[in-house]
Amino acid sequence: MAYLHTANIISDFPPSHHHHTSAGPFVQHQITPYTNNGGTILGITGEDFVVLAGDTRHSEGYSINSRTEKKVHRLGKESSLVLATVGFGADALDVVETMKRAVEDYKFHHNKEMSPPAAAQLLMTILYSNRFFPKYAYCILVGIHAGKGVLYSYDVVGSYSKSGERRAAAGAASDLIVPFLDNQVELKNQYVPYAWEEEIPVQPLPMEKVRRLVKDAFTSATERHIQVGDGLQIITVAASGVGWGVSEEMYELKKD
Amino acid sequence: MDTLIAQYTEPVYDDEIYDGEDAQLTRISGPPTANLKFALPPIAQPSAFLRAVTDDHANPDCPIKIAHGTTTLAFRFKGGIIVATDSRATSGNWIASQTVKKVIEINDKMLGTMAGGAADCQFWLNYLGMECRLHELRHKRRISVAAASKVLSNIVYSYKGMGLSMGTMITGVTPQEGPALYYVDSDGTRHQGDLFCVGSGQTFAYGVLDAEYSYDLSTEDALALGTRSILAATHRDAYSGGYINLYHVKEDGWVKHGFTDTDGIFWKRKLETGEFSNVTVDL
Amino acid sequence: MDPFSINGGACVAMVGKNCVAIACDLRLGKQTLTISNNYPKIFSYGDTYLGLTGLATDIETVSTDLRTKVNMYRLREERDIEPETFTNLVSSYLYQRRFGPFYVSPVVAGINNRTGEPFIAAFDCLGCTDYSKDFVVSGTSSNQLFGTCESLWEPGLEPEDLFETISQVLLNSMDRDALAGWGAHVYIITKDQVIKRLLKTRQD
Repeated sequence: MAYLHTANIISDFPPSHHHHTSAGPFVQHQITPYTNNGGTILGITGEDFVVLAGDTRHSEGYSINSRTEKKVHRLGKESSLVLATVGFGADALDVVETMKRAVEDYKFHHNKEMSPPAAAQLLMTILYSNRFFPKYAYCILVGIHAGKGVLYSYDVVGSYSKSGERRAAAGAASDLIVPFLDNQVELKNQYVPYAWEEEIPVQPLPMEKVRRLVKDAFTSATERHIQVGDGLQIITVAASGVGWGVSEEMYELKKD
Repeated sequence: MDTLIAQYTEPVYDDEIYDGEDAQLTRISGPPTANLKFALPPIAQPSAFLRAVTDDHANPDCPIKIAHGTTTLAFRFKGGIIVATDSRATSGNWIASQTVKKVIEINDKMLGTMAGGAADCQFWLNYLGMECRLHELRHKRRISVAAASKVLSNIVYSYKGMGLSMGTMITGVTPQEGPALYYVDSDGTRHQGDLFCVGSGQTFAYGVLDAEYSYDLSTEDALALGTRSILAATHRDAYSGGYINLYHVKEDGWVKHGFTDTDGIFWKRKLETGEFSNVTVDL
Repeated sequence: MDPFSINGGACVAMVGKNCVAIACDLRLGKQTLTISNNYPKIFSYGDTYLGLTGLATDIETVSTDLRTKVNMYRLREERDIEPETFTNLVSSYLYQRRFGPFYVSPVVAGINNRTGEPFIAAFDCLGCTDYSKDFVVSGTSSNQLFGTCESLWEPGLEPEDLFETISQVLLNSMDRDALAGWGAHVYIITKDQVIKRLLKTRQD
């Protein structure tokens, strides 16, 4: 809680600039509705699959609340949608619960699964409906759409790219991981050897390579960031025929 | 008889003469089209709260960073309107994205540009798209750019002081107005004009654009000028960069002219024209 | 108005097999405005190299003050200063300003002339020394540099491989930092030669 310096919000009349309880009969109430619970999430798409991962440390200041709190959630038993959230744990979970309920409702009403583009727009609407009291939750939403892996990433008030993204990271160690992803997934700053300034063409990565990159990224982030570590939850959604398969892998990270 | 009928009939799209902004605006006020309900913190001054947790200028340690920093431009010329933007999103000094699409396609005739809060621009321009479509259905004619931009400015004005952050240009071509360009921002400002640059890199873009601009520019030259102005801004402004998103708005709708990496454009220009001689190529 | 991030800049040093490398960007900015694209942040003191990021005015003061001190050292000792000795000099020099520090984050790289051992170190602005066997970073892109170094660096790199690694690390890190970039210098230091290269980078 101490991490945040929230405004001096005076809930009692009259609004005053005396910021001390001794200044009069009015008690100043300060609300600190957010806590930073650390952690990092990361998603990478391939040709016909998508991998979404998050570490399982849940911290507050220098304390660790849990080493096994998962951040990546499936939005329905029959759905290919998977949502990872990071930031303030309570807000993050609330967003997940709201989405899960919406996905279930959609199925009851329309007798079919919600498509990833629809879920993506819905998530924006949910986040933006809290524009003046934001959910402190960074989201990455993935799924299978028309046989392809799709990925959308959001800021806390819901901005996202409709066309989706090849990869995204959010949370405490995103600034450590993203430049590595630029280099290894988008092949940024990589040129064909001995060919004058010819960029190496970007191609979809095979699943094994993606999983290895995810593990490497988190192992590195664990070394240099105190809020990242303990365990890594990796969910892979892969298209197969007209449907999809979902698998989950747990990978150990350092616990120091 | 004809005058009597005309009195009680909505004119259809093509044969109507532009009858001025005010006359149109009286017709857009219909029933509320969407139920906009925003959650508010349970305190006396929600806007102060919001500023404390999200405004990184007043409070650099704020937990919620909203993406800022941009260069966008649009100008009118004889061949229509050129719209160009960069594609960088920053939160603090961190480059959150290099591939943001800052031109929002409101419909196939109208474009909006995006500066300030990414979500604010996306949400309200999307919402504006819906309002424009409803106008079309209600009145059997496309909304004018003047009216559309006023719909937007009225919306953001009603949220004034709540912390919305957007600086946008609304462009389009209608038979009544011809090519039209409006600047609208979250303070409630609305301006018509021939040339605007918006964002942290606006001054750099104005520098190039003002020097070379003429209404009689050929389409090819106008596109090149849009690109060159954004390029100048991405070079000097730390918060602008990435790709150049280029559009040409014509009478029959807009045409996209690519989403091109500034890296390639910059070095091509430097090596071919000798511009940017400030950048060293020797040890 | 954090003095460490007014002008912007990035620096990184790495150890390889019988070699070290040090690299920096070339930007000098005034907050968001880029003033110069040719502001190197690496200075040589004999065969020892110093990278300085932080407040530009202090970079100039610190680099010239140390130049004086190293010249005096050379006159007294009649030999070049070793990286380890230089590191101690930087540390004690910075600590003299304990209550009014220079806003710089120095990085040292070199090869010990006697033993041939690669050496790198980094400091905070008060002179606390961080000896390292793999890599050290400084500047506004330090988080990005830590992430990429931790993922791309491996032990025992030959000089040309070390060049590729440090270049990729610096390039990809500063491409995610609004205040660093606009060109880069890389030094590859072996026992008998130093290669300096200019990298072609994004200019946005």
